[in-house]
Amino acid sequence: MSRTRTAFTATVTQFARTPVLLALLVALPAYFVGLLGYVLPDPTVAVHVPGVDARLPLGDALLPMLAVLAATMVTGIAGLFVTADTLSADGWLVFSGFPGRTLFVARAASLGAVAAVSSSAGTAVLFAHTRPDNAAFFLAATVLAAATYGLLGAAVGALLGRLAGVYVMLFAPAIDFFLVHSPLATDPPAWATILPGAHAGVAALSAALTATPDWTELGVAVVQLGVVTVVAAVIVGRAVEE
Amino acid sequence: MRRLRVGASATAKTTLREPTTLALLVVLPPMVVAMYGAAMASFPDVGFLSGSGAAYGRLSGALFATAFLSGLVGLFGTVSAARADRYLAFSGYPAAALFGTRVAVSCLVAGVAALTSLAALVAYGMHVASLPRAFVVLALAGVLYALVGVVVGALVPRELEGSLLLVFLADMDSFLSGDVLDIDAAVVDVMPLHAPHAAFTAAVQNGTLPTDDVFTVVASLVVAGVAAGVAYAAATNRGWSA
Amino acid sequence: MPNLSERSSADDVVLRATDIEKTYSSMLPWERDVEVLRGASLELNAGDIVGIVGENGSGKSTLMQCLVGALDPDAGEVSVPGGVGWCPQDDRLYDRLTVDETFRLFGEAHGMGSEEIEDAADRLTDRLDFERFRDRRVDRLSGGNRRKLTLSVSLMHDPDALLLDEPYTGFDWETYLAFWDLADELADEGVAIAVISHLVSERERFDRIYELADGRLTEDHDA
Repeated sequence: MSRTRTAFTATVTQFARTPVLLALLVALPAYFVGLLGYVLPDPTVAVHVPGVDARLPLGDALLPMLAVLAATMVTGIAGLFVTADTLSADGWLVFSGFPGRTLFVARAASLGAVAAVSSSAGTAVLFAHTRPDNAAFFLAATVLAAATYGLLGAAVGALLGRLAGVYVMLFAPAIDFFLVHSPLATDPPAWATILPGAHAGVAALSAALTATPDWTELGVAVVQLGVVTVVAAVIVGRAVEE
Repeated sequence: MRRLRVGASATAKTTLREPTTLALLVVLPPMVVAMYGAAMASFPDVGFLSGSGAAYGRLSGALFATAFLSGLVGLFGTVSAARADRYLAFSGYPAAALFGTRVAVSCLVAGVAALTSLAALVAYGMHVASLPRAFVVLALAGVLYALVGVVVGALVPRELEGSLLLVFLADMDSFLSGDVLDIDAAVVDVMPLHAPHAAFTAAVQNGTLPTDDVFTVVASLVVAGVAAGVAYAAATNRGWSA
Repeated sequence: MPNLSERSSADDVVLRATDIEKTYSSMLPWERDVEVLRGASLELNAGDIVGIVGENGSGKSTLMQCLVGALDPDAGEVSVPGGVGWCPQDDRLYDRLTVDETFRLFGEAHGMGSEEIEDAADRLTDRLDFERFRDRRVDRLSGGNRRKLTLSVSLMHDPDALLLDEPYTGFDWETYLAFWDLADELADEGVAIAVISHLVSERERFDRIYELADGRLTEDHDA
């Protein structure tokens, strides 16, 4: 426990000593949701979310999804760089005897904190334009989605490096939330069910747009986060030891 | 001219001797084109290109894949080579020539990405009315975003923070420039890909290049070029030990 | 201070490497393979101070990484019965942590307790003369001080064998002498030390010097 705490503290310390990054964690989701909230037109649109069959103003329909998208992009890219930037130092630390799994747990926990911060920032600005029906559930689902993408970012960073990794982490959440699982989309392709948007995203939208959130999808999202955690742990662990 | 050639050759080798960068250029754009097409196929309210949301999605995917890849190469090239470029400048290499090499390599990368994306479009069965015009617009969109990447990289010389800024600009751009939603706001007109998107659509659909859109693209390139040049010169003059 | 009775005697082999081979291959088909090590062998006894020299690009750092287990050789065997400390050629530190925080993190990695870590940090920052930088971030240290920190982290846990890759790059003269005082003390306590350096003009400091050439280690009898 002491080692986990030490590694977690070290990771959070590194984040905290990068003021530009800290500012961006909050400012980017806020700008994304805030600006789009102002420019989106008012017409109503048909919303296609499981459990929701209605026509809603465009802002009410899209902005919750955009808040989720913003949080996932920030956390995904943070996960990528936290991993890619410290691979050699992590390798030496693990060589020195620090258990690789403990180091990964500490990193995952710090990405969870990043997910919470970015999700909170996007959700807070969301309130300026539309109020999710179940804000707490919406926030929880958003944090889940962001944390999942944070760990995916870590795996991508270990596998592909920075340039290719940022490209993947730019398009993956956009395709997932903005396109395939957009509230305006009807039948997403079959392969999309493995994407976090199919579960955490749908859970978040159900909480935003209805009074009865989708607990089943939230449960699946938790399981999905667990699977992604294990996969990321294996990939990052191998990269650190190389 | 010789210095420009030598510098461009060196920069190109630095960029292309990374296996993942090469994979990025060749593999990822077609994947993005395919996924955008699959995702947009499920948008019932989109009526473009004879009612084919999938075709529209692939078209947008080709543009965004090319532009954002070039933008990332511009950003990472500027940030990662910052110290080396400053040392070259200190060693007597004119800053203008250094900047010229960056632009030259951006054109090369944009050209390759445009070729790959266009090839993917054709391979997926889309009829492109004018291949040369479509290629030129794609490549110019790539160069435009590469210059934006250089500006971001010069102003925020850290890969993580620069990536976050570029990704959020790119996603906002893709959202507003794609004409999926009828958004009437001044901010749409200043998005870098707004005019290229219209020009690319015209080139693919009709084989034409609307004069207004072409003029806007060229003007955008000039503005971005000047901004990138100024930012790059300022960054290079920070001192070679910085 | 290390427990002298637990150290190996001078006859004990603390590191043995036999016929190490290593080739670097590229994923790109037009890039040639680089055969770096072609059967390098080395034996370190307790208390040895050994130098490893070679031209730039001869494979010294690759050899060291194979010896410490950071890199898997393509062939050959490495046996290190006791603990090993490794000071890599490049400083693999966390930029935004301070010197003290770095000691704490790596001390935990070595399985040291809080007091042990504090003692080691006090001792090593004093010996290598950088105690006034203990609360400074790594990215704000000079190159020489970063090197001192890397060296300190590699030996803070009192290993049986120390493998040091260009350990005194950037050291001022006083610190260079302090390093050798420390190395001599450790050797007297039974620690085996191998130093990769291109600066072995003071050959009398070493028990043996090996030259790495054509992928093989040969003892330099001019030492």
